[in-house]
Amino acid sequence: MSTLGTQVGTGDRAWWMRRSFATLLCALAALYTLMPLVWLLFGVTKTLPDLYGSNGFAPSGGFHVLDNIRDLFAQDGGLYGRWLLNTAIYAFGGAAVATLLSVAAGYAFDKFEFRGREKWYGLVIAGVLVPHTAIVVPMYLMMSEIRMTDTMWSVLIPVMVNPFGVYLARAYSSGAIPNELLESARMDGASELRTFFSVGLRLMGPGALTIFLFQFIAIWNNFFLPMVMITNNDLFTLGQGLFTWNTGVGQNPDYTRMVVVGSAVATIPLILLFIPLQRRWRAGLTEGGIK
Amino acid sequence: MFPRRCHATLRSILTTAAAGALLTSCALTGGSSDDGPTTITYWSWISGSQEIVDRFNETHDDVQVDFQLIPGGGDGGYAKMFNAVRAGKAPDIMTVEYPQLNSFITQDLIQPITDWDVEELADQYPEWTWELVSPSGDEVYALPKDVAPTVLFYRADLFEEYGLTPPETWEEFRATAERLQEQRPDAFLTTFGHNDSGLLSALAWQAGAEWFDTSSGEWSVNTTDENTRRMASYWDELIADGLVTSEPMYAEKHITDLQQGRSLTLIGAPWSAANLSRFLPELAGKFDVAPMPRWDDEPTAGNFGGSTMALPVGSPHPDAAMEFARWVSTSPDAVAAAAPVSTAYPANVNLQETWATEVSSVNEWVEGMNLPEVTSAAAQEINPAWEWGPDMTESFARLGNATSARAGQPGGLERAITGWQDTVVDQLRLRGYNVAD
Repeated sequence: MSTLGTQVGTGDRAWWMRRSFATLLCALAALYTLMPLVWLLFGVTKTLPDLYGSNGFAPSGGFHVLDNIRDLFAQDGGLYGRWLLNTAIYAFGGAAVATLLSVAAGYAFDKFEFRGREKWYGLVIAGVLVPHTAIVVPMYLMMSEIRMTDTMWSVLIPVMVNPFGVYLARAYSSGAIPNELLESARMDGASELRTFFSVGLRLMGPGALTIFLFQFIAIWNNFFLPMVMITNNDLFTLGQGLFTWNTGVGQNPDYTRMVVVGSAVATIPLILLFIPLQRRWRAGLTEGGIK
Repeated sequence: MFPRRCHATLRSILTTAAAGALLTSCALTGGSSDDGPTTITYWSWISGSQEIVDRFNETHDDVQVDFQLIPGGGDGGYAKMFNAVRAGKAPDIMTVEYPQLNSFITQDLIQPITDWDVEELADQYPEWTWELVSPSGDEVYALPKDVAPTVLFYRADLFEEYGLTPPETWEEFRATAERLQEQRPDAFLTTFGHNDSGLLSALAWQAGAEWFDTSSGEWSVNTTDENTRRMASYWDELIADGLVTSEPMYAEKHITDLQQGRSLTLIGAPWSAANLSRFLPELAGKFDVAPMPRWDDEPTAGNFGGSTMALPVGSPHPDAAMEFARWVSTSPDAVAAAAPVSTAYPANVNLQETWATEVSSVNEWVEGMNLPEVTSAAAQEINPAWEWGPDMTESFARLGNATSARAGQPGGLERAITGWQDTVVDQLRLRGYNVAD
């Protein structure tokens, strides 16, 4: 009995130690990710002097959230609201088109046999390997050639394609759309386009959602592309606007407060988008995994 | 159906062509006076610009200004201007600070404005200011907006408590710092911003240094002169003896020290008052301002900031842009508009009275301060022989790196600044400027 007891004990301890080590790692990672957000949340409640003079991880005298948000939207004639709207247009517009194109391309690569299919697919995948920053300047020169810099299109068009989305969509399509279903749709007399829109696209919904969210977040956080393309304040994204404000603190220190509050507000739309979509997205991820 | 569509297309082509011709003829005659106001774009990051533009737009019908906030000069604003002007997408008018004017002039990015009869304004600005906007003496390249004579802000209440008086010389400044620490060992007389190239050059300027010189027809750089050394070694000793603290200006530590009364003075310029008022609103009425302590018997000041209105090459509406620039540089209305948010001191001497009344009446932090008198005296004491180099954004960055790397080492500041001379000479030669040995 006693030997058995010891054995169980050792097993227990090993299990416990493994588990606590994993927990510790997770806790550290969580701390690393969440600390800035916590700081930001406290920052939103503070006045400019308190942002400098008080502990960043504790509340300070007074609760100034409403004042801060009102000032944020009033600063420089309401530029922040404009930037929020622009970023939403870039992110929704870009992600919607990129998703449709990716899903269509992925579906085509998966379901159709055509000459050089794998070569074309390889070309698309090569696009994943080219860093986004490397092609921004050539894109600027091209946009400049056709006089499209400093327009919304100069930011929208480049984010409307996403080679990684094509890769995801192809993988998802092969798992989620049974070929037999397409056969039967064709036998019922549906055209290829109709088959795609009524059968393929619907089955690929959760996969499309994943692509949409990835692309949405990528565009929302994109800094370099709009920085190069856009000089007109009225077309700025949030990131670009906050950057501009941040360099103005030498002239007007109050921009520090605007940047803190503005950064916090900029995270809200992403959180709002995630809450309703989260459940479907998770379902979609697991579905794609099991085959 | 088909012929009609064809006809419509043809007509629209003709209309477009006609409109194009009309536009061209408008451009050739240079006017669109009948079609409403000319709208111009103004690039700046200077505090108060939006307020100034709003006031201009309210009071003018012929020209309307679209203000575009751009990143702060050395933090991306100048790079943006360089690229835009070279790409043929220049704004109509833009802000350039005094140190950077030469780089814009030597690279042909701003154009002379002498044709807009600006010479007649010359006597409205201090001599040194006009020399900076007209470095060669013949062409004028920008209209001065504001200037920044160095002054010393101090905690009047704490000075009184510790029985101190504002020091008149740098020798007295040291003695005052010692007396302060006898009574309050955790306090410093000032925070020395070792990373602030603008501050370091203002201090050198005040000490009588002349870092750049073009009188020989070539660029010459001299930061190893006696005056620069005297200034740098003075601060090195104060830092080494723990009499002042050496920290980045306006960073968290500096602000906390100011808030808690551990850093008692601030070497600044009139614009600093607006910054201080935002960081330290609860200390309104506790600060006063004194002339900068001086080196010799003769009073001197340096210049620490300020900006000009410059006309980029390729400005789409130069006449309208110059109308706006002249208004900003000469109108009391412009000063009054900016006063609630900015305490920058107008370069134009005719506007200084308006400025004095406006800032003290709308800014409670400045109210009761000696700021107008001290500033106006300091503005006349600035050494007009000072010149700026031809690539100051880069040179400043290199100076900041050198001083930050050596901050706190014994003799670190002196070695950083004197060593910077070779760095600048190399940098300028690399850029293709002729530099004297």
